[in-house]
Order: sequence, then C-alpha cells, then structure tokens
Amino acid sequence: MQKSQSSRRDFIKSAAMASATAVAAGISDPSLPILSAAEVGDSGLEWNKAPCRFCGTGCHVQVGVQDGRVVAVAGDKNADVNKGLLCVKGYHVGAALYGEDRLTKPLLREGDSYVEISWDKAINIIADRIEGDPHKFAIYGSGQWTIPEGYAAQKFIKGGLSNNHIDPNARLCMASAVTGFLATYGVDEPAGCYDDLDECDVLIMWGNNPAEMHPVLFSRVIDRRSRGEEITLIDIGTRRTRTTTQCQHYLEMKGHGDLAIANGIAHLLIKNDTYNKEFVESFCNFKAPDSDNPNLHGKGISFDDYKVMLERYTPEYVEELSGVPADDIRMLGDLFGNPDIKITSLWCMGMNQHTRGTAINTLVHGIHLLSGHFGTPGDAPTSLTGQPSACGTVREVGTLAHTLSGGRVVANPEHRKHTEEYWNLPEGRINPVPGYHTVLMWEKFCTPSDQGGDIDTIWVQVTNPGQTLPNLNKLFNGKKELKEKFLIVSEVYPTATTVLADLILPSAMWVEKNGVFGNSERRTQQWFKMVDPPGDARDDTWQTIAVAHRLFERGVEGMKDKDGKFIFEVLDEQQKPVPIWQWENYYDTNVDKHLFEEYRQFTRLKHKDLAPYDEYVKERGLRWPVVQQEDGSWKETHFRFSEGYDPYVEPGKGMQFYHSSTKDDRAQIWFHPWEPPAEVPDEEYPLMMTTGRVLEHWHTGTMTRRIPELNRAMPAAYIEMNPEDAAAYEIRNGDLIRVESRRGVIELQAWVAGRGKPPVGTVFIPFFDETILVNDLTLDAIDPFSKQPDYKKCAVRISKV
Amino acid sequence: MISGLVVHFSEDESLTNAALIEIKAKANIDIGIQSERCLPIVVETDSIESSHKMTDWLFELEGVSHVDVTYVHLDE
Ligand code: SF4
Repeated sequence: MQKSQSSRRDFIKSAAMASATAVAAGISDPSLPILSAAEVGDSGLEWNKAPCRFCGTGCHVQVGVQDGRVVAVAGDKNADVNKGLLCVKGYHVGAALYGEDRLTKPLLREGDSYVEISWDKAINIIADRIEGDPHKFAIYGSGQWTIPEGYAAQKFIKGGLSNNHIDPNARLCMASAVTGFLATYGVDEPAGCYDDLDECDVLIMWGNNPAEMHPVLFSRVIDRRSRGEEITLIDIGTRRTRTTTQCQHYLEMKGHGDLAIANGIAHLLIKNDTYNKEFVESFCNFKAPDSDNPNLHGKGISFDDYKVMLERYTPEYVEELSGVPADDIRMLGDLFGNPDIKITSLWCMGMNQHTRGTAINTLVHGIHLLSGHFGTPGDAPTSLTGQPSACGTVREVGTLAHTLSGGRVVANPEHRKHTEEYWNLPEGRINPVPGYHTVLMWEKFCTPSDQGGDIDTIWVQVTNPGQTLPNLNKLFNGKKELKEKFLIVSEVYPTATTVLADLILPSAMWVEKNGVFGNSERRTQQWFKMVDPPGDARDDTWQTIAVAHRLFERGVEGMKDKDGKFIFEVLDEQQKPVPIWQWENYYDTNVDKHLFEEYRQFTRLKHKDLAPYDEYVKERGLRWPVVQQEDGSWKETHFRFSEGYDPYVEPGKGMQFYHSSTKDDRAQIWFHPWEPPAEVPDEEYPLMMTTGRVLEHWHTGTMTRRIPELNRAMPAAYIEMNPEDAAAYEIRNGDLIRVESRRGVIELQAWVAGRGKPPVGTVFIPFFDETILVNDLTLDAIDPFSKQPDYKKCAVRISKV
Repeated sequence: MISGLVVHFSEDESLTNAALIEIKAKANIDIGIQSERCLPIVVETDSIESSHKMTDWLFELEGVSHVDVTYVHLDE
C-alpha cells in the first residue's frame, strides 16, 4: 500500500514537473497533460479538455477525473491561448464544483422559506406563468451561457413565444464594444486576435488591468520580456493597478479623459501630418454623430470637417480635460505617427462601462485607422470580454433584446425571414419590435404592474443580477414588495439573486454538462460532460427544452413549427423523435451538437462561419470565420479584413471592410466630442468612486468564494483609498467606513495604499462580495446607443463608523 | 497537494541569484531545468492553503517577477 501511494505521488510529481518544464522551455511538443495510456492506467485519472469556466481569455485546461470527481487540473500545453499556463483562478477551477452548499433540488418559496418540489411541478409552474401572459415574461441570461444554452433560450422566446424580452448580463460588460465595432466596421467583433500580443512593439491598455483580469494574456506579454524582447507597455487608467507596475508609462486620467486623449492623438496625427494618407484615402470614411437622429450610422463628414472638429484638442486642452500631461499626449501622438512600429490597443470594462462607451470605442478604432496601425499582426484595436462566452453566446448567437443569430436584428424583415426559415416557423412568427434591454427589463420588473411595470416574470439563467445590476435598490430590490412579480433563478449556489427568487432551479455547471464557449478572440471551444451534477441539478438547456415541451403538450401554438412539430425536435437515426425533454433521455443524444449544427447555418451571412461540431471536438478551439479548404480540412482566420489573412477579402483589395455600413468596403473614422461623466463629485458627494474586479475572484464570487484558498486570500470587499485622502479623513487601514451615494449606503473596511492605488479624490470598491453590495451605490445612467451602464464613475461621500 | 509552477525571474542578475538560493533552500520544492529566465518547479505541501502561501512567498521574492501555475493536483 505504502509503495503504491508513493509511486502515485511520484507520478503526480513528475507530471507536475513535466508540465512546468514544457511551459518554461516554451516547447511545442507537450509532455503533459496528454498522458500516455500506461500513465493514465497508473494514475487512475481520465483526462479530457475543456476551456476554463471563468474569464473571457478562454484558457484551455486538462481536467483529470477519478471516481466521478474532478481531482486534477492542468494548463493545456496544446492550447494556443494559454500554452499550458493558468492563473490562480484557473488553477482552482475544478474546486468550484464542490462548494458545500450546491443547490440540488428545485425550491419553491413559501413565505420566508423554501420547500423542495419536483422538477415536474417546477416546470408546470413556469409554464403557468408564461401562459398567464407570454408577453410579460422575460429571460435574463448571460455571457456564461454556453452557445447551445443561449441558442435554445433565444429560439424558445423569440421563435416560440414571439417575444423579444431576452437580454444577457453581457449588456453590462461589453455592449459598448459591440456598438463600437458596428459603427466602425459594420460588423461586430475584433479583427485581430491574441497573436497581436505576441507581435506588437507597443501595447496600450485603455482603462484595462489584464494583470489581474486576464492574467494569462498578460503573462504572455511579460513572457516576451523575460525572453529579452523589447515591448513598451502603456497603462492609461484612473488608478494604479498590478498592471501599472509592469508598464513603462502610466497615464493617470480623470473619468472620461479617454475621449479627450483619443481626440488629442488624432489631432496630432493630422497636425504633424503623420496620419497614413494612403490607408485613409483607400479604406476609410469620416463620420460624426447626428444630433437630430442619433444612431450608429451618424452623418457622413469630409476629412476637412473632421480636421476642424479636432482642432481644439491640442495636447494642452487634452491635459486640461483628462489630467494627462501634454507631453504624454505628444508621446502617444508620436507613437501612432510612427509607421515602423506595431501598436495594439487593449480594453475591457474601463471603456465599455462608460456613458460614452460607444463613442470611446469608435475613437480608439479611429486612431488605429487614421494612423494605419491596423490589419497586420500586432497592429490592432482589440477588446477583451470578461465572461467566457460573451462573444460566442451573446454577440454571435444574438441573445440581446434586439438581435437574432449570426449578426441579424429583429427589426430587419429579411433577417426575420431567414430566421423563420432556418427554424421552419410560419412567416411573421418573430416579433419585429426589440425587447427590453437589461436596465429597462429590470426597471419594468420592479415597477408595479398597474404603473406600467409590464414584465411580471423573469427567468434568470447563469448569472447573478442581484449583485451586478447597477443601482440595486431601484433595479432589483424593488421586487421585494411586489407580490404579483415572480422571479425564477437557475443556479448552482445560493446567491444575492436567489435571495428574492420565488422558484430556484438547481443547475449543472461546467464539466457536469456538454458545452461550447466563444472567447474574446473569436475562438469557439467545445467540451464534453465529464462528471454528473449533484443531486437533481440539471443542464440549463434541458430546463429550457422541458418548459418548451410542457407548453407544446398544452397546445401552445408557438412551440410548434409550421409542420406542427415541436420546435426543439431531435430525431434519432431511425428518424424517430428522441424525448430530450425527459431528463432520463436527455443524454441519449448529444443535444449540444444538434443545436450547434442548426445554429451554424446562421453564421455565414456576416462571414462568421463556424465549422461542424466534430471539428471543435478535435481542436482547442478555432477562430471564425472557419472556412473549408479544397482538401476538406477547416481553416481558422487570425486577422479579418486583411488580404492574405482573411479568406473573404477579394484578391488585390489589400484591405476590405466587406460589411461596411456605407456599402463601399470602407471603415468609418468617427469624431465624438469629449463630454463629462454622468455624475461628478460635488460638495455633497466629494469623491469619485470606481468599481471593479480582483485577481482572486471571478466577478460576483459565487464560484471563487466557495474555493477556500481563494476566499482566504481575498475574504471581503474593501474600500481602496489614497493615503492623502485617508489622512484627511483620519482613516487607517482596517477602519470601518460608511460609503454613501445618492442611491444607497454600504459599510466596509478601508485599505490604504493597498494593492491598487487610486489618485487623490478617487476610491475603488470591488464587486465580488455578496455581503457588501457596492451596486447599492452605482448609477444606472446608460450609454445612449449600447444601453450599457457606467460602473466606473459615481459620486460618493465617506465617513468613519 | 502537488503543484507545478514556473517562476519568472527579473532582469537583475544579483536579485535572481538571491531568489534562486532561497528557493533551493526549501525542502518541499523540486527544481527543474531553468530555461532563460524561467524556472520550472514542483511544490509539495500538506494542504491547499500552504500551497497558496508558498506561491505568495515566491511572488514576494524580490528577484521574482511572476509565477505561473501550470499544474495542480487537488486531491488533498
Ligand atoms: S486567465 Fe481566465 S481563462 Fe485563463 S485560467 Fe485565468 S480565469 Fe481561467
């Protein structure tokens, strides 16, 4: 016994060393974690691939399963994204399944407590609520939905109920990136990919902290430095972070300073005559907002108009608006004006959670286009997502209130027609009116029905709005007193959202189910179920299909296609329907594969082509468009719109923005003026508060706070303060502080000169802690185009408790 | 608890050497073959918590710029 334990230990140690050595040496041949059959036999572990459950980086892990439990996790050396690396969260991802308080039974509220009910009863309750008034029903989903989960929810509500009230939490994190891409290129999602990080000479992070939020991507950059490559890192931000410490330049700006900085760079490119004339003349138009009719098309302007609009954005004026010294603006202008270097811009929440989010997104694209720093590896404006499938499930599947799959929108009759054809629905089934976006959906839910609150039931899947919505007292807590409203929550753990739920459904998570994610760089990633979910927990896709089938059984017309068949019908090899709405039969077939193959048809219109499901089984993800080659193989695309990289660019064009909104293959360079934030400090509320994430916890912490070592490392939220402010308020580390905004109040401990360092007049509070809800304080002001709220700027006052 | 880690050293040779001496002195760390500024190591601890403390300790060493975790065996 002793001997076998020691040989197992030795085996595990040699596996650990092999994986670390492979990463350190940067070798391409993996020695781990693809183990040989003999080794697997020795260790008793079965290994399989999956993307990490957490952030939008989309690292691949190898998951070791033994006796029906996940017992080991290794970075996947075969994965391009992470080349074997994982961050501290990925390293513990397996443990996220095994928190002690997993939800295992459907629970129905009775007064102040819950009773366990059967799945059958739960499904009936949901069907009753929907039948009561299908147009007062809404689904609130997520960028953590797998692609099949989001696709099923989308088909159910838009195709089955003719109701567009479905929106995902990604509205809160990357909607402004979407509108920025659409306004600029006429089609969503980055042209470049993570390869840009390996090629650029200059990396500019706009309000972005990848060292903590996308750690593996950042370590890819730091790794280049370790190997002696020269790379200039520039952090443009509102507080010093762990990213700042690695950067040669830190440009500390005031909130909304980014608008002025981008305009200042464009001003200098024109004034110094260093913009790329050939690129601009060949591939770009100019646009400005149309104040009479605000939309993503704006109004066309000439280059001379553009020049005039930028005239006032001198480095000195930009310094006045942004707080960034004029010399630093000149440094940025010189970098963009230098054609011999490659520049990549990265951004995430800082630019998206912004009441001028669409504007700043278009301006950053604009300076890349104006300077010609676009279209070759390393020269790219690239947005990152916080969630593992914000791109795949939200942007590509189209689970926003106004979208349909594959880049279509409900307001476009042609797009509705395509969708009805793919779904075999009668003409006119899809409602042409966009549903409520997130903020409006929750506002309507929290407003009494007789006062215009026309959403009476929301089904939440794979997200935690009770913690992440802004201005929670208005947009979530308002539900408490409204007896006519009904909240259904599919979850894996009790959360700030389940606190107000009327019906809680236990869900399977990550490798307890099949799945497909789409990460930040257009990479679609597939995995198989490896272990069973606990108790009666079940897949979210199954939950949606089971409710749809219950409505079908009751004769609800929308659940039938135009031939009278169930809209989620799946046939077996004998062409007989598989009863996938019954849990015991759900895994008789691969439902994910059926849904994915159906969804794949939608992806050609906007050249976001996906390969067949089975191709993804073989790969660690593929970046779309994935196009079939003459020999039958499937090839991914690293850089879009650029000849030689993108298969859809016509020969001889060089650069072709083939979904241009002006239909002339050109991208749009926008001018937007600087505007102040929606709320700024004043005498009553003298400090600016910004919110965000921490390295150890993923978003609302529902998974990572159940991993003991992560929770010990970062147990509670804190208010981060500048030492000068702390001295002025006589606050020391650990003091309990009352923080008030016009919308709420919280109390938490002070951390002075902690991990991040906000400037004088600014405080930072992370949002991972469900016991201290910083979103009681935040503002629900939204960007006019993307409808995304600003979590980064609101005015607060503080006092010692 | 067994973890595979990659320690990235800073560009300062003397700080790197000092960090290396400290790492080598730890009985529960196995050292692999260094590749440029990256050193593969295996850390064995009796709990996840002490493994975490060890990673923190590595991060704190002046000559260490970054630590990546490449492998973890969760079964305590
Ligand atoms: S960087 Fe993101 S995807 Fe990669 S291991 Fe960490 S949390 Fe997971």
